[in-house]
Amino acid sequence: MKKFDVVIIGGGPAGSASGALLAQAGKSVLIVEREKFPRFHIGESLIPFGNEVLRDMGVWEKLERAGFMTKKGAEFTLSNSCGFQRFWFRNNLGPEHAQTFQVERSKFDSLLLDHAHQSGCQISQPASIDSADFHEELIDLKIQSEAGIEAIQASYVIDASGRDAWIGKKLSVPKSDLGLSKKMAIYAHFENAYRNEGEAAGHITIIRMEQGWFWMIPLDEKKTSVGIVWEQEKLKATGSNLEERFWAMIHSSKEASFRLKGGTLLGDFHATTDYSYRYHQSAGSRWLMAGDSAGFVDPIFSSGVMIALRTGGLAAQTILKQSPSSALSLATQKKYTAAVHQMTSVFLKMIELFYDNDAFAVFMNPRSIFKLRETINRLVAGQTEMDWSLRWRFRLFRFLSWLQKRYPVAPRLVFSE
Amino acid sequence: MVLLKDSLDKSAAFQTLSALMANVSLDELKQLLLENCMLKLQPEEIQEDLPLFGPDGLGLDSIDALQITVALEKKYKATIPNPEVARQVLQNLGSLREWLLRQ
Repeated sequence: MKKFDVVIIGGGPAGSASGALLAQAGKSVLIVEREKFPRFHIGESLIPFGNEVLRDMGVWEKLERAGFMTKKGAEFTLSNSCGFQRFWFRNNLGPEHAQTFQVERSKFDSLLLDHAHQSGCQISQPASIDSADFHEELIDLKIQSEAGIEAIQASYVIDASGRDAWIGKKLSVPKSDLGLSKKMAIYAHFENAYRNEGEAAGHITIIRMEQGWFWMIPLDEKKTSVGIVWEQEKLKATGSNLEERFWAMIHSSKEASFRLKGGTLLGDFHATTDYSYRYHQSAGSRWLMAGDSAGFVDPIFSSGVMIALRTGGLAAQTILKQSPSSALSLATQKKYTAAVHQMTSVFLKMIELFYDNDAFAVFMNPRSIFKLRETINRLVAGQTEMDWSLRWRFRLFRFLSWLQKRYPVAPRLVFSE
Repeated sequence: MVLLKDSLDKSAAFQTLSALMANVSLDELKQLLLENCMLKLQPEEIQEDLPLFGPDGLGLDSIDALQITVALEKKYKATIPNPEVARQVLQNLGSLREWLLRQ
């Protein structure tokens, strides 16, 4: 029976990152990916604090050569075109964080998985996990592929299965909905949508309505990903199918209409609903969750793929620190879970601010005496590991957002179109 | 299709105006600020994201806001509907420029 040090469920960014790093360190790795690549996937914007993992796994130069749009910052606009804030990562961060990429996932995920394979990972694709039995010394798995069912053994399993959350569901790990309301995202790709001038052409644009928001992500020279995000029930009520709802929302927004004028639809509309959750535990004695399988908050700050890469890296590191094949101690499990939760918690706080119209007013009017612009830039870039100064400023930002309700620290936003 | 003379005139005027707005540059807007306000900074020092109002920015006040609003109407025929919207549109030169490009 084949035995591997690590079996990784899922060949997306979390799986490829953890797999490549483990294989490069000499571990025997099997990645089991359910779908044939290339395939469409949502989550198309990176943020700079994911760059380290891409460099460590040795894939950065390949990304540079592959023609992905360079992302040097993010811009937030109001739907009535009357408010506009543009951030450039390089204004507050060093050269290693000055830019990252917008990624068409069909291309990105294929490139990363290929790289993991070249790094020494075995790939079973298309294939799925039929069963997994966790014992004290190892895990017995059955892999279902086109060739039939194969029994294999592993010392550790990394769950990189994304929203399918294989281990979370199988072991009925308790989870939380993070107190966020149920939202829905409807999205598609367009050709010839509006582009910013110069280096800002690669920026992600967030268009904020009084309720709901759009993203516009330039994937390459011609293609732009456009999505609408709103409360699930309210968005459903705007039309009887995805296409109707999408266009109803675009037409209700001056800024979105302006940017999509002249754009032509490529392919189909897709949707994702009710996507916020987090498992209370991200690690067990022989398993670790990486990426969406551990939890997902909200797409607004493009944290998903960055967190997938970083938790993938952390999972690999955690296994590499173990004396060979030993089970993860309770302390190690807790430490890993705390690290995973820390990343999502920072974004959860920012997300709560984004959806609050008073807090968002402070966001759109960052006072430099409080270094708010720098603070926001760092958070938007993904700096979840904060030094004392950033932690303090983040608290100040949250305090000012709270104060805004009672006393206008920043001018109240006008949303009317 | 035959166009009436005054429609032609209007269309030409509209095209001139569109061309004027499509080419609004930051330098042009800095010039507008210089002509209408007492600036405490040199134009070269005014970055796209420098707040126009408030002590930690250019330090313009509500009189300046009014001057700018009038100047924008005169030069670009672009009307800011009320003081609240003005505060937002005039947050910095970047937001002013983007707003103007869409009028």
